[in-house]
Amino acid sequence: METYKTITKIKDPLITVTGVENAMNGDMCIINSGGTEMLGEIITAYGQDAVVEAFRPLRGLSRSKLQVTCTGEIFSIGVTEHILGRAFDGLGRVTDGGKLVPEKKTIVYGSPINPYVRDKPKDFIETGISGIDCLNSLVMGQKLPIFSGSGLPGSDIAIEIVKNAKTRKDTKFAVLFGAMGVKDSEANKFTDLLDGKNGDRTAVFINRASDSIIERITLPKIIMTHAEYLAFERGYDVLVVLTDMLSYADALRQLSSERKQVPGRRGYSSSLYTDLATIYERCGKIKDLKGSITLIPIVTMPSDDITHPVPDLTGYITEGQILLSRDLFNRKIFPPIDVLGSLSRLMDNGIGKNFTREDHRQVANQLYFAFSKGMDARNLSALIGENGLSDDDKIYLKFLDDFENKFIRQQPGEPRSIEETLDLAWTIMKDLQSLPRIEKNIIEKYGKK
Amino acid sequence: MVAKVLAINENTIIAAGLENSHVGNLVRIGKDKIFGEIVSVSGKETSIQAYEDTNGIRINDEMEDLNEPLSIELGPGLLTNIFDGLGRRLSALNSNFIARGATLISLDRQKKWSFKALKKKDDTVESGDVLGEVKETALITTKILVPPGIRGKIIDISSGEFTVNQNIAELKDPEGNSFKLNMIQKWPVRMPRPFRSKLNLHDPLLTGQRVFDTLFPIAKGGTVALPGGFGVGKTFLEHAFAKFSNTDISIYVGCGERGNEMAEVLNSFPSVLDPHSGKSIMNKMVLIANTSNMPIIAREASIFTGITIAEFYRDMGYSVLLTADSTSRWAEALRELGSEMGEMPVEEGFPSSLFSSLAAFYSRAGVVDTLGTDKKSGSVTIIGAISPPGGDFSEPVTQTTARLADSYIELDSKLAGERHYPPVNWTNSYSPLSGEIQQFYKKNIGPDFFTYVKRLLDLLHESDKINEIASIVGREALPDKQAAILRLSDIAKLFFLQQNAFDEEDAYTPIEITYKMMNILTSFIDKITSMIDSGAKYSDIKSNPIWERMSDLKHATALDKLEKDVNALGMGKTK
Repeated sequence: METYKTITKIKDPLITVTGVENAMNGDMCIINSGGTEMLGEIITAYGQDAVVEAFRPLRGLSRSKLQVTCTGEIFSIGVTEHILGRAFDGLGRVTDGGKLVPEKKTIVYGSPINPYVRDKPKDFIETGISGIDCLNSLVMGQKLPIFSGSGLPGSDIAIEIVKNAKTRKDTKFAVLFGAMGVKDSEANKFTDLLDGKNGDRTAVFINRASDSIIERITLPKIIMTHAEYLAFERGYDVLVVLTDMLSYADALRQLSSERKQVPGRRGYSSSLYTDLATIYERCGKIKDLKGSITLIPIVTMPSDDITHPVPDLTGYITEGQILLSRDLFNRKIFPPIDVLGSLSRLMDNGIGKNFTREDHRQVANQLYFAFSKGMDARNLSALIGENGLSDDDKIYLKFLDDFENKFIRQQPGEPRSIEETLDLAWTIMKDLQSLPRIEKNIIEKYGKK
Repeated sequence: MVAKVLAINENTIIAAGLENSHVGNLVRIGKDKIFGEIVSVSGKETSIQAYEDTNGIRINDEMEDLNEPLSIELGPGLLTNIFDGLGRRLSALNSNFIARGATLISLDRQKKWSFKALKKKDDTVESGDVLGEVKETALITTKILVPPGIRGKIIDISSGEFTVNQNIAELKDPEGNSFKLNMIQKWPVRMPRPFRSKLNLHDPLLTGQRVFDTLFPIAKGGTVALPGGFGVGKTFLEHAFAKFSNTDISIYVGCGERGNEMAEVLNSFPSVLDPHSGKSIMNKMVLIANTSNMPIIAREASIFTGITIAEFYRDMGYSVLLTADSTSRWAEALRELGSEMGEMPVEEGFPSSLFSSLAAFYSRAGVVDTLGTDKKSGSVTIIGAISPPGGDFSEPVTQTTARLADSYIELDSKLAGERHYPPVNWTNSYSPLSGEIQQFYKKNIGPDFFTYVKRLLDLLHESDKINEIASIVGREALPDKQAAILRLSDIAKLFFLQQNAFDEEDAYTPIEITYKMMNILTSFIDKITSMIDSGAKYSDIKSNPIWERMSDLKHATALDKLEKDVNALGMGKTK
């Protein structure tokens, strides 16, 4: 470890140090200023000059008091199973006052999974939300974002999922929850997760809006590093929920402008895609290993615009999306899941006889079918009035109301098992004259309950 | 003087002591020996792009110039395998995560191949001539060629069991130099492999996807731009091309895409049977996997690694399809590299060299007469998927590719939203065909093939116009003929253009069946429109059971009966 006092330049969050011997790219540094310490990382080195990026704002620090110590290590964190039930900040430091003894240290940047050993995502994760479980099922190893809008309850849905998600196998299950750039009012809701049901299988990582942006950027890397340890070394099925990726990307944009990088679309760095991918792609399953990493990133779409770079690039990397609807939200339906705009590409790998129930796929198809009939009927009735509808259309209109008010609508804290969800689907379909998307024997078995 | 690291900034490394090295050479850096490529030399400073993560590299770390550009080993053992963007065989890495600095070996050194010599001692051979062959997979016999730049008299050759790096022949050229040849040809990926001459496109590439084989046919040796926003089913379509096309070899480059997608390919492709031979399609496949979280210059290289393998099989006289998913990610790699190198950004931050870079890739497609005295002709077809940001087709990569590619096939998110797969937009897409290919269709498939195609396109365009009106006045208020046309176009979309990739029968349609379907469909269209033209009321004919029966179009076994019934239409009663 070498300590340098030769600071030539400070420009928040960057410090230029000179006279550094054999500077190492990625070296973790301890920045000390008259007693206060913070971490930093060498991001550029040229000859004897090294540029250190500080993880906390440098405001109020004077050049003469600063000293920088190079540790000679790449940014690492201690990993252990005992993170469960605990709370952390964006740098992975315990914030609940207690101590944590790590099993070992791991570099946070990860390495790409060898595509040859990747296993296909399979097996069902029950979120307890009918609109997801039945129609856009989440599969172990999948990454399925929730596209929210400002004011829409993206993080409330995240909380429900963190509390209630479960697997249907007898395996170790852990939920890691990361919140980036959240308001103080929300932050408490998130830490409360640890006290509630399933708190002991959950860890929360919180970076508040007022916290450092660098820690906002490190948070997902730290969470994914823990997830990899739990999944691939300890055999857990890990569900990671990250909110809000827009705050993450905005922090990245701010940093890249401070680093004077060429801005791309809407000012985001041209490397945003790669950057998001290095988080999202750490999900998956590996052949011959027990665990899995599943990811639900919450992405706020500014002005509900799905073509905004963050949701757009996310959509290109993830396997589907859950889209929230402002219309349902305005009608006070929670969770406001836009059925037609949502899609889980890997759904078929995780449902059916071996995973949920044999009628699942057909029930989902039938619901989609009846839903679009119901929408047609609703559009028509807006033109000609409900009285002008045919009897058939009226049935579908009634179905649509039930679908939205009984099936999609759910009280927070009242998760449904997949059996309850499917049974409920049969209940709201019972007035339909015919169920063309479901085979007869399935109707016999499940429809007559 | 030992070369040393002077500066590090993300993936860019500045080195001293390499001022005499060639641009494009590979270097290995630091104690982890990570790979990099020399991209520019200026004064005493040499700029290097690292292929791998640069964390842990120190100032003054030593580096080694490998004195060769990024190359891939070509030879038996490529087929059925999966490689990363740098050509490393991923199954040989023996690790769950890709560690840095793993050596660049593509071909299995242990495996013995049964080499059958086709030339004998004292024969005189030229570059490109077939020395012998190896049965590489159940489907493909790999020809062992005299490498480019070498010719002479065979002084030794023998059949037998050899590994790829054992000598199988020895040549002596007229100048007296002798060459010992094994089955590996190491080739720099950015350098096109030589051929004798480029030919006109004369063979259709049949995909088994009806909308392509009819409305927008592709030629062997052609280039196709395939743009589509996320969620339009682009990947499924590309998988279908890779699986079912009538080319000898299929190369799939996952460039900056999802790791789970490659897992899906690796899991599902082995059990898919090639419709032309009945054997697993893996026998004719090579996969290149560069997932989105691998370093960007490796992503940039992956496309060239793929096309070099394609040219290698082309040179044996095979037809090769290269599917690249997605060229947008590749262009973004160029953009990131350009920005790191301080290149002047133009449109949307892409470097001004975007056109020439894309051209360097697409111009490697084509039908060629290969080198060698034994007259072979092979082809490389490129299908380049494009992922336009926000689904906006006016962006630079889509537009630049459209200028370079022969065919432009737009995937429409609106159609995809209606679950119309494959969601090919029939108004904006185009795929002009050479006279030779039109002749091929007329001669081998049906003389009126293109008449039917035109009839279908006309119907679709007409129905689009009517739909605009219908969205204002409602379908009920349309005049008879327009109502009939809308319903006819619904039938054409549902039972002909839409194809279900999950349905075993529907996933692939041989061209003869497609032709027959089109024949029945267009005569149905003609019958109905002429009935209406001659005064029949739509309300009278709309409940004719024949409308429902048109769903039989999708069942090859029901086609004969359907054809009869359609032909009988209007002969007797019309109600």
